[in-house]
Order: sequence, then C-alpha cells, then structure tokens
Amino acid sequence: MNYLSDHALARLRQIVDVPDTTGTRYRIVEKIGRGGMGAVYKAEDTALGRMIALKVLDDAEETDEARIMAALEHPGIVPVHDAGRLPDGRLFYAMKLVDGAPFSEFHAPLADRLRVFQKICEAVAFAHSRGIVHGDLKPENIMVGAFGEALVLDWGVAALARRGSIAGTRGFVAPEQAAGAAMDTRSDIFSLGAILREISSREPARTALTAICAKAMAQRPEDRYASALDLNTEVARYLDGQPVRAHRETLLERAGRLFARHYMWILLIAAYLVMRMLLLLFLHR
Amino acid sequence: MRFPSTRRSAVLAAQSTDATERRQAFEALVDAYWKPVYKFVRIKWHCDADDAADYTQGFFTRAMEKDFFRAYNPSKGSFRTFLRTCLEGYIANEKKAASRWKRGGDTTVLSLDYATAEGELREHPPSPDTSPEESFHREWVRSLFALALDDLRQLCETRGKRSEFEIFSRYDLDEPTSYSALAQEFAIPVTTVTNRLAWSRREFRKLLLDRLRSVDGRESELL
Repeated sequence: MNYLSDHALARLRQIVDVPDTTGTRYRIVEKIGRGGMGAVYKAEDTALGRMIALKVLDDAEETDEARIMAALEHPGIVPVHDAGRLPDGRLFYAMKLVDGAPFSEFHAPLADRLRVFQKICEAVAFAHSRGIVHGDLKPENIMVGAFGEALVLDWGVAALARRGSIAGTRGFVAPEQAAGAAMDTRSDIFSLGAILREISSREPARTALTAICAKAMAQRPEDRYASALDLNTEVARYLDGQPVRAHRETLLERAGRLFARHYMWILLIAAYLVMRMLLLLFLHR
Repeated sequence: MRFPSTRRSAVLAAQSTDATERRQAFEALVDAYWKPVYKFVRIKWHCDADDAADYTQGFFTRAMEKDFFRAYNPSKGSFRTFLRTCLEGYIANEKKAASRWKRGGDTTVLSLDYATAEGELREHPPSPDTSPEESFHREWVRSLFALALDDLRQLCETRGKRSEFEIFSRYDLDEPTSYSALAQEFAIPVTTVTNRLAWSRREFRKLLLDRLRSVDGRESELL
C-alpha cells in the first residue's frame, strides 16, 4: 500500500465526491448541499436543457423518498421529475431546482416570516392528509423562493419512518421521536413549533407568539395543536390581531392588542375629539 | 482476491459467532486502521517508534482477544470514534499498569509494516496546528483511499485492464496531463482514454464505498 500524498488524496476525494452520471441525462454542475442521507447537486438536464437539483443518496439501498415526494403534489413541496440509479449503484432523483434561500437565511419583517411559516404549515398539513409525516422539519429543510413561496425539502426521514427507523435534528425533533417511540403528525407539530420559536426569537418577546410555540412544543403530544392547520389558524389570528387560543390575555394585554389592531381608528377619533373640544373652547371665549 | 459487489460490514462480522468470519473481519479492520492508530499513538503520546509499534500490536491483539468491538453501538457515534476511544482507554490502562505488551510474547503477532508507517511520518509530519484527533481522522481517510486504490490495481490486473489503471494513475494521481498526451503515449484514440478513465473512476468509487461500508463509515466522513 503506497503512501498517498495530500495532493493525490485531494484529487481522489474530488473524484469520489462528484458522482458519475454516465448513462443518465444529467451533467453535474456543482454541489449545493449535503444532508444526513445524501448530497444535492445542481445539474443540467441535457434532454430538456434546464437546471435541476439532483439528490444522490449515500446508500445503495432502496428508499421511498422520491416516491413520497412524487405522491405529494402541492405548491409547497418540491416536485420530483425523475429517479434512478447511478453507475456506481447509488440512488438518485432529480427535482426542481429552487431559486431561493433556506428559511434560516430569510431575513424579512416578522409578519412576512410568519406568512411564509403559514405556507409551511399548509404543505405539512397536506402531507399529513396523505398519511405522511416529514420527521425532520427545520429551517434548513425549507426553501423560500423568489416570490415568497415556501418549499419543504428532504423527505428522507419520512421514508425511513415508514420502515421504523427514526432520525431528526436536535432542537427540532419531538421528544417522543428522539426517544425512539412511534412518531405521528404531532411530532411534526412540535418541529413546526420549534421553527416558529426560531422565527420569533429574533424579535422582542411577544406573549401570544411565545404561548403558541409553547403549545405546539408541549412535551405530551396530546397537549399540542391537533393539526398543522390548527397551528396555521392560530398564527393567522395572531397576524390579524385577534386573541390566540393558546393564551388567556389580561385586561391590559387586551387593551394593548385592540389598540395595536385599531390604532388608526382610535387616533382618528381622538384627533376628531381634540379638534371638537378646541373648537368649542374657541367658540365660547 | 474476490471482489464482492458489496463488502459486508466487518464491524458486524467482528461480532460473529463463526471464528473464521470473525478473524477475516478483524483483518479488514486492522487493514483500515493500523496506520492511523500507529501514527495517533506516536503523535498523541509522543511515543518512540518501538513503543508505538508495541502499543499498536497490543491494542489490536487485545481487541481481538477481548472482543472490544462487540460493545460498539452505531446509534452512539461512528465506529472510527469508538475505536479511538477504545485505544485511548487501552493506552491509559497500559501506562497505569506499566505492563504493556512486549514484542515476542506468546500472543498473536500481526504482520504490520511499521517501518513504512514510520517513514511516512518522518517524510510527511503532521502540521503542528493539527490536533492528534484530526490527524487520526485524516490518516484513516488516507488509509481507506490507499486500500481502495490497491483494490483497483488488483481488480485491473485480474481483469486484464492494466492500461485502465495506468491511465487512471497518470491522469488522476500524477502531475496534470491531457487526454491527448495520454492518447499519444498509449497509442489509442482520445475517446478510449476518456472511456477507460471513466471506468476506472467508477470502479474506484465502488471499491472505496465498499471499504467504507466494511468499517461502518459514512460517506460524509470522507469528505
């Protein structure tokens, strides 16, 4: 066994890292990311002359990930165009290349981030309605497109969950999932709550939002929101300045919320009253 | 040498009840790890070459006799980290007892080329900025790639594809050259050069992944 110089090792690493797509219609352009189960490359679909995202799985074993994504036709879930095997035996699938940024890098006002979050809830609720639990929801697995659309990526854990294997990401994974117990749609609700907490942590504390996060991330699954749509509705209430169900507000909080919601009207009425008083004072001088 | 389509996990096989299977698995693990272990011992504990060789022998021999690797649990981390932790525990105990394994004892002697490892360490010393743990990882990666390269060489010889290996070696390992220069040198068309190179790269990738799987490694650990 001869010694491999650093130069030779770097060259061989590069060869191994760039998948051999011989016999397929794809030409690798560059690597754009790596998850726990495989790497994602920007590639050219030479048959159609367009750029796509090519996910190459580390293992040669069958996975349902591509089939799951193909079955979930929704604006919030990345469409899969094709799937197959590379010459080295590894599985790949081609999907839409999303022109955007991960949610973790989406810097916008809180209200805009919450609207994106609502779209994520809609996509997750759709998957749940088809019996699919994502299992690894986190900001890095969500892309925000150029038009503010949200796309949920990486359904690899959902595929594994079907076979009884459990993974997830620390900080976002539900306690029952981390403990290896059976996960269900409520495990995703926990992860959505963790994402919401991440979104709101960059802002001054807001009692209602904190309460929504706390309910979504309750330790016991039965104490969480019953569905992603319920969570979505709760966030909509918050955005509309309505009371949220997760929090019973005090009189002062209620007054503050009503003022925030109707402050234009309140200011207009106050201005009208002040003018009216000034006019009366002026007339009675 | 046989070239299985997928090498079975040597880590799993090392826990087998079948003695032959266990021994073969153990040899595969020693192949992949002895050099990183030797160099790690030299760097981390500042041992001289003889002591490092003794510790390396002793560690693998003890691991085989005492079934160290049976305790490995994949859910708790990589096998590479597990092995390194076992090694650290072994050396700490040996140093404490001051009774390390001596060469020439009645235990199994592994035939390992320490002189080569020592020469490599002398000619390519690790950077002072690199921790022993990082160095261990890098040497493990180097060792796997070198083993896969040996596998490719043997595969090419077995299948009568020496020129494929030559082209791969010249284009991907030596100083940069062009397809046309290789075509001229081997007196073959450029398309044949690229085809042979593509075949070798594909086989190399497969062999490397086989080696990696045999030691329960993940691809992300290589890059």
